[in-house]
Amino acid sequence: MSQVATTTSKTLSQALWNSADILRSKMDANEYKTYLLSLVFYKYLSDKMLLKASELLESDTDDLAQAQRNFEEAFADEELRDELINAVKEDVSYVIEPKLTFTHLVDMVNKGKFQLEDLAQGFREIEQSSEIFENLFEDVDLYSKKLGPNSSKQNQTISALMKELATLDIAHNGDMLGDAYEYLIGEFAADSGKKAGEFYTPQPVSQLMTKIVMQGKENQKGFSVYDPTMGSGSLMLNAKKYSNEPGTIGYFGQELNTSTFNLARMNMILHGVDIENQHLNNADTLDGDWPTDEPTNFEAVLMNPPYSAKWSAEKGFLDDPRFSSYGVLAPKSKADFAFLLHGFYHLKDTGTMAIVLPHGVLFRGAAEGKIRQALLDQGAIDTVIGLPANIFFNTSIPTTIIILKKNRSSRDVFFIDASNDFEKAKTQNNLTPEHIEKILETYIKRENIEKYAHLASFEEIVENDFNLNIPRYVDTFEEEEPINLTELSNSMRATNKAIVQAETELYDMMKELTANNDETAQQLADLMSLLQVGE
Amino acid sequence: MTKQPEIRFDGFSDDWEQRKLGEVSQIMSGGTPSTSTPEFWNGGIDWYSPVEIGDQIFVNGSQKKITELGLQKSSAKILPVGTVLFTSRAGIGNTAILAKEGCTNQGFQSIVPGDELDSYFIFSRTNELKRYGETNGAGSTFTEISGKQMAKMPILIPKMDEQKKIGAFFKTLDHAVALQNCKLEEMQLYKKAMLQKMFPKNGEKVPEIRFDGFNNDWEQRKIGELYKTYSGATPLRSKKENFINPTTPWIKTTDLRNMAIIFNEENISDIAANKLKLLPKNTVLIAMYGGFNQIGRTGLLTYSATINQALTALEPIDDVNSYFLITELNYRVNEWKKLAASSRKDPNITKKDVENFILYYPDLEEQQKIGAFFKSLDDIIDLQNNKVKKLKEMKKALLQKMFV
Repeated sequence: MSQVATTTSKTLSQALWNSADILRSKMDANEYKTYLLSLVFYKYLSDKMLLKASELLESDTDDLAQAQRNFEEAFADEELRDELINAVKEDVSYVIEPKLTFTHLVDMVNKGKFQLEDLAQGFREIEQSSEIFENLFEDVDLYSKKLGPNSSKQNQTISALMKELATLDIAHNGDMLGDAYEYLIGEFAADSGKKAGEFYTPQPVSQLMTKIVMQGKENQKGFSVYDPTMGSGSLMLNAKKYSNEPGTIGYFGQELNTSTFNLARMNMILHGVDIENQHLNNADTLDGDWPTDEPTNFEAVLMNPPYSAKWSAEKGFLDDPRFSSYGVLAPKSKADFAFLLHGFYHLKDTGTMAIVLPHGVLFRGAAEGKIRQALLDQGAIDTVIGLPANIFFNTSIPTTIIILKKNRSSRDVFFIDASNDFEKAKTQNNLTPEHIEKILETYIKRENIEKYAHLASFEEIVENDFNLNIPRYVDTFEEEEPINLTELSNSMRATNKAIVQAETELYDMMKELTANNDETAQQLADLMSLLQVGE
Repeated sequence: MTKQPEIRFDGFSDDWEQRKLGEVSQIMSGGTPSTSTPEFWNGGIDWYSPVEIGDQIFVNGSQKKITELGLQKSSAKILPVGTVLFTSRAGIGNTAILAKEGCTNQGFQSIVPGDELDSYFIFSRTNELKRYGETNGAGSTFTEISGKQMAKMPILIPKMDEQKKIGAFFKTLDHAVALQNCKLEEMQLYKKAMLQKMFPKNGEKVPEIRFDGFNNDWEQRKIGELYKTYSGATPLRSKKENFINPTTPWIKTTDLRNMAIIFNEENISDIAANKLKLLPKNTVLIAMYGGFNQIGRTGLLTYSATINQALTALEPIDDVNSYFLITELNYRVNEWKKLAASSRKDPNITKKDVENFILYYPDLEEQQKIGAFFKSLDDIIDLQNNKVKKLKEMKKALLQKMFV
């Protein structure tokens, strides 16, 4: 078996993305991502276990084929097997039989003996080994007609993909694979178009939100982060990058879509998050509240919910503690404030919440206006950041990040208009690191910057009827250039002089014109009189 | 078909001759050097694409340039001074005259005049070239006229010396039109300059230029403090009696032109009008919606009228001169746009936004002087605008009668 040694994160990402070519012709991104990401994940688990087993057997190796042989020999030894199984489980919490490892299955592919059922069995064993893996592969349909019209073709498709993945070294550096996984998820989101793009927040926006909510808490142990619409989990996983105590972060996330929920679980594992720090739930955030068991409040709440989603808005929710103190519910056809209030409810008094929403929430009236006013009255809305249009995969509308806090000493709102700061790319705009740093620095300083940022007093907001539309507070209008009257006068004089000259010349030419009938001659005379009126 | 135009220069009486365009000129297309070869680009040779053609009569510098090597390695050909560039697809019939030699991409069928064709003479017949190109073009994705087809275009031409006289005439006429247009632009710029200096800048209390004898600070008040605002409505169109015997003017956004309203499109019946407020002469109207570019558009009533719900009315009051008011609102129109909600299909402002708008104004007498000044300026600009229009109509008439 060939090995590609020392791949960089970037080339690993690209190689993984290229692996998808095998599936890309058969189905769309929303479908084939499940196969690719699941197989990558399975290979990761398998390779990691094999290398760990070799280490435990005191036969350290980087060679997966060698590791496989070591594992097979040990497994064949009746006395050694049980001890080895326990030791491996203690370390990585699962065991894959030698005959079901990714390495072995690829060997079977190469010998023409691979059976899809073996891979399915491998998935089942993983799922049964620990609650952390429960139902993780349930979305992967190895017998789908989309893989091929019959079981033989289906086998061929999966075999080809496995052979491609086998060439990659992905077990040694978990962070590298985590980054590569992140890259894949981003590419899938871009490829999916409107339908599936909601499961992923582009990295620049995620970074900005995470840096804001972690401001001043980088050294805190036991930092907790909650994303009620976590999608693939990428948004809250950013906390790991900016914390100086990453091993102690608690991740709380909820996701409605089961497939995406499983993706988030894999994402957590690949990013090295311990089981005890994972708290993920597969349910509807806008139905019953979650979490309801302690802890229920978090240092950070991050959210990029589906915009203007429909929800039940049943009257019973008026008694739900998340919504009851506002007197009204978000409208049935626009759940934006329902998501916002859910998140805010779960924010610690010392915490910071960042949520991405469409601009409409800043000024829409009726029930939403009442909720907005209530939030402003209690000083909950700390900052409004206008983002450029077209930076998300599934929508081109402009969006805004709203920062919320509890127990603020002031009711002012800080506005940042970053809508003109972006780098133009092919089909969408990008925020560069410079743009992010500028926003973050401005947020921290909380001072007025002409055409970019404004600290609005509560009185100013009341004066605007609690309308938070950014242009009301940050004036990006370019003043007209003052006109130099002297230059203009000189230019007008020159123009008038040129007009006299041109019209004289024209008049002289027209005197040489002859009409061939009286009617036209009269019209010609009328035309000439135009030029005699002077200026 | 007669072979002599109705209007000719003295001394010419011969019949014009029937020719084909390809007989008196060469029809030339162009090409694009490979865009992935840097050695072909940013050279010293002008290379035109169709998007650059249409605004200027003479062109002497293209946006992109190619090198000698790029010229050799493509279908582009050097075209001489005097060539009439003619776009042949994606908008057939835009023309310009080369004032400096250059070449084009493949979106052109340019006319290189021979000894028997004058550049400006054929350029003046742009409308005929365009009509022919559009009529005889082919293609399914987009219409395109071929060089071969263009060469077959029938054309009546006089002898060269008459062509030159006609060409020179229209060149002078085009120049006169351009100069009058330039004067119009300068007058508009003058008005803008005077607005900048005769109204206070943001944060200031007095303007830079004032009429003699006025020294007081200007007031700042919200429109809602000065005026009682009013918005109208649309009578139910399903009720026929609202539009039978319609005698009362009813103003909509499309009737506003940032000036006095001397005509409006629709009237309503007495029955409908009785449910609306009849607004007096000199009321100023502000459009609140109807599209982003309509917001803040104004009109000044010169007769009594009713309005629809898209407009806010400011009826005349003692302290503010109406012409002064409309002048200030027009000058500051961009301030409305920052209030308009920006992420909706049809952004709008509200009556409350109008009421919260802060108006700057001096004593009434000074307002009247300022209002009269700008009205006079508007009248002069309007006269100049009419002159430009008349010259353009003159050209159109002469094109009809000086060619066959």
